[in-house]
Parts: sequence; C-alpha cells; structure tokens
Amino acid sequence: MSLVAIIPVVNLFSANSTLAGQGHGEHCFSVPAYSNTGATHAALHAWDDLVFAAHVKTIPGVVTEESEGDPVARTNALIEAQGAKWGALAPMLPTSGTVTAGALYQYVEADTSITLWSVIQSFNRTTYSAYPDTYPALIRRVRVPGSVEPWRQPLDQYDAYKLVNPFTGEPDKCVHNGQTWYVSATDGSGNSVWEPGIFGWTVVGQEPAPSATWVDTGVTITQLVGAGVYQVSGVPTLTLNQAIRLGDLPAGETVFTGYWPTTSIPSDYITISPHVTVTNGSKVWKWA
Amino acid sequence: MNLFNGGIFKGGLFNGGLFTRSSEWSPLSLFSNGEQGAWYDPSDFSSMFQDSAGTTPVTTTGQSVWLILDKSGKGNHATALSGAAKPVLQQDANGKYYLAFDGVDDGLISPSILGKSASHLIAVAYVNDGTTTSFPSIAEWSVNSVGTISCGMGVSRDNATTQVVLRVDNNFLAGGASNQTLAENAIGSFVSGEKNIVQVTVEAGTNNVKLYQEGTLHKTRTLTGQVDWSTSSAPFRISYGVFSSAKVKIRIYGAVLISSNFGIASDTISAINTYLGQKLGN
Repeated sequence: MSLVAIIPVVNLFSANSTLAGQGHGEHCFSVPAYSNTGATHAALHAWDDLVFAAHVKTIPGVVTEESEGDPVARTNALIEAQGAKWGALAPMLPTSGTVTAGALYQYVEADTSITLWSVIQSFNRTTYSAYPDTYPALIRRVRVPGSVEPWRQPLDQYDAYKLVNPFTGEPDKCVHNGQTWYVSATDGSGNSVWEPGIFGWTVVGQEPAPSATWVDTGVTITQLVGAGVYQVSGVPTLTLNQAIRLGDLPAGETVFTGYWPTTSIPSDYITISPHVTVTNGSKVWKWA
Repeated sequence: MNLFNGGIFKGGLFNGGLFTRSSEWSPLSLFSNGEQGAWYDPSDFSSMFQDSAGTTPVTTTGQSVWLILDKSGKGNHATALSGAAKPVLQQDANGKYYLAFDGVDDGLISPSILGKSASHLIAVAYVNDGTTTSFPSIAEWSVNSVGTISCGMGVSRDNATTQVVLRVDNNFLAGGASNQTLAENAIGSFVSGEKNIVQVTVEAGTNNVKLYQEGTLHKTRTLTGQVDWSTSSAPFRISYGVFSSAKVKIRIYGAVLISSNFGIASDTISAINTYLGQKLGN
C-alpha cells in the first residue's frame, strides 16, 4: 500500500511547512502539475509509511489515494482528476502533424535540457516547424518551478513570478538582458508581473548592502542624571557619535556622545546630544 | 598511473584480480589512495536508515530508506530528497536486495563531492521497472548552478530513443572549454525488467569519455577542454538529475562514484562489473 496525494499550489507552502514541522523533511509535495499557464498543483508519492500518510491526510485541500498499483500511473491519474497535467509525462513536441490547443508538450533544447510548452491554438507542426518560441500566438513555454529561464510577461497568478516560490521556498529567478535576476519585491500577493529592471527584481550577485536599522541595545533608561546624561540598566555597547534612540518614537532619536564619567570607558551612564526626554524603562536603541 | 595502490596489485590481478576476484572483493579497495567518491550497497542493512538522522535502522524489506551510508569511507552518505521521496528496500525473486525508486519523486543525493584531477567513474547496477517518465537521470555526479545547468557526468534514459545515454558537460569542468554535452545514444533499450550494469568513465590525458555496458566498452567520445575536476564539486545523485526534473522508476542494486588523481586501472571496470553483477544476480 502506498500513498499518492495532490494539493493546489495555493496550499503548497503551508502543506510543506506543516509536514516539515512534523519531521518529514522539506518539500514533500514536489511534483508540479500544470494548467496551460503554469503549475497549479503539487503531487507526491510515498511508499508505505503510516505516520506520514496520516499527517498528509490532515492537510487542508489535499486529495489522496492509497492502493498497491503503479505509482506513476496512479500519480498521473490523480493529477488528471484535478484537471491538471504532469509535465514529466507530457509527450515530446512532434516535428509534424497537428498539435491541439490545450495540450502540453516537452521539448529538448539545444543544451539537451527539457522545457515544457503549452499549445494556445491548434496548429500544424509540419507548417510551423521552427523552434516553438517562433510562434508565440500558437504555443508558449510553461515555466517549471525552480528553473531559470528567459523572462516572459506573466499572464495570470499561476504564471506570475513569485517572491517565495511554493515549490522551492525561494524567489523565482529568470534570465533577462544577459543577467540572472531574482524576485525581490512584488504586489501584496507575492506575485511579480513586472519586467526585470523596471520593478521588483534584483540581479543575482548585485544585492544592495544591508541597510542599517534600529537595534535593541538590551538596556533601558533607569534615571535621568541631568541634561544629556542618563543612567541605564546595564552597560550598552555603543560607538562614539553613534545614532541612538531612547524609547520607541522618532522623538527619542539623538546621538551617543560617550560614557560617563569617562567618555571612552563603558559604564552604565551614557551622555547624549541633543538631550531628549524619555521616561524610565524606555528601551535604548542604536542605529546599526 | 599508480601501479601498486590503484592499479594492478591493489585493485588488479592480485588483490582484486585473478587470484582473489571473488565475492570478497569490494569497491572499498578503490578508495585507498586518496580517491573521492561514494559507494552505496542496498544489500547491506547496516548502511540504511529509515530516518534522516540515522537513528532508526532498516531491518527488513518494505521499509523506506531516508539515509544510506557511503561505504567508501569518504563520508558521502546519501539522503532522500524528503520524507515523501524515500526509495523502499525490496528483494527480488533471486533474493537480491535493491532500492525501488517510484518514478514520481524518489531520489537520493549526497553532499557535494570535490573531484580529483585524473579520472572519474560512475558505476550503477539497475533494473528498469516499467513505466517511466521522460529523460530521467539514473545516476549523475552533477551540479546545477544559477542560470546554467552544469552537469558533470551521468547516465539517463533518452525518451525519444528509449535508450540509455551518457551525459558529460564541460560547464562542470574547472577551466573547461565551452559547454559540451555528449548525449550519446548508447546501450540497449530501456525495457521493463532488463538488467543493466553501466559504467561511465572520464580520463585525463586522453580526455576520453567511455561508456561500458556489462563491463564491455560500448562507446568512446572525446571531450574538448580539460578533465581536471579537482576544483569542482557536485553531489552524487541517484534518480535525481539536473537536466530534467523527471524521476526514473527503477531498481538500484548498487552504485559507485570514484574520482581519482590517477588513471583507471585496467581491470577496474571488470572488477566493478563482477562485483555489481553479484549484487544484481547475474
């Protein structure tokens, strides 16, 4: 007895996270199933494992089947029952004859890698026999999750590039204008439909330096000693002339001018300029 | 060529050759001179575990294998891709043990293995198990870098010709020339139940890539660029390729990867073939 299961892509990230949290490893649902525009479902097959099967069956949106039959045939049947197609079982794009709208094909690229193509409208390959990308109105390439391919304008949510691809757990990547990019900003749903260089893409290896942010020093204000001098709850690690903030509001922003009584010797007294007034218990933040 | 430790005397005529060539010989003798690689043996229950941490041993057939230890001594233990992707240990009608890969998502992968300078060898004993998806990898020592598929060497099934092909890609090579893929139609049809022992070798000096079936040289091709892979590293993969995400429904009876600073001893191919043949029940 073995288990075949399938889940919609919208539930994929949650499902894999849940299974990982239950000790079953990352990316249990890993087999992409496609509509005409992109991956819509993810499937898995597991040999006899009662605990794993029990956990899978509790996942929202999952469809399962258990039997003794051929895993490949059963996985394909379950995928097709969801109205999707298994890319790995798609036939090779023929060099002649008619290909039908809605059909999914594999194609061997010049480097012998395999790509997936979906027929938009039926056409005769004998007549239109060149590289399939030559006929964008007839056939289009379907992106395989995790693959790094030339960028193309997404058509819908399934086709959109993802900030976090549910199959890989990483941003989608593409090749555009001779560079490899990854999604770094998206709409509110984590989808990117913008061209690299216009919005939301970063060139791999050209990430901007991490920007500074407010970091908790771990100490709080215990008393006001005098204008520009506070006692704090411990000895903070600060750098001379470092921007600091007393409390959580911008009004508490100032500059650390040294420890007291000796500027360069760490103590639980800090001097600031300009003076800002905050209440005891306020956190001390530093810009780092 | 290291005649004594990697060659005739250690892996050859005397220790692994005519005089002691028996069931006692094992691929371990091929790792005694600084070689890198891995050796997986599904007939050795002590090398397999049901969990990734290696705390629950495999004790009988029907149990899934999450971790299989590398018996080469190099520590390149292979793990399943996930808890759903574990092959299952089975025993055939001849009493031989194998790992059954489901053709859906099962696959094993080792840590990255840093290559050596002179020669490289992959050997795998398998039985095709019927229905299979297209262009699945049987065994590869390969890496997939960002934006570029870089395959070291491996064997996979060509869907169009239903034959086993070898793949070697110079992208993998340190300082190698242009991308070079040798997708060579090779050995017999990939039909259900067919037993096969396939070995692929890449050798410095000649730059020859050779494909052996059942210990017999089937094809020789020559790579451009160098085959010093001492600065290249990649995982050893079973049913988990970088050229295609498709998996293969297959029974693996044993697999070996060796990368060496020396040439391949003349009888290494036959020694491995004999050893894997015993595992396969030939």
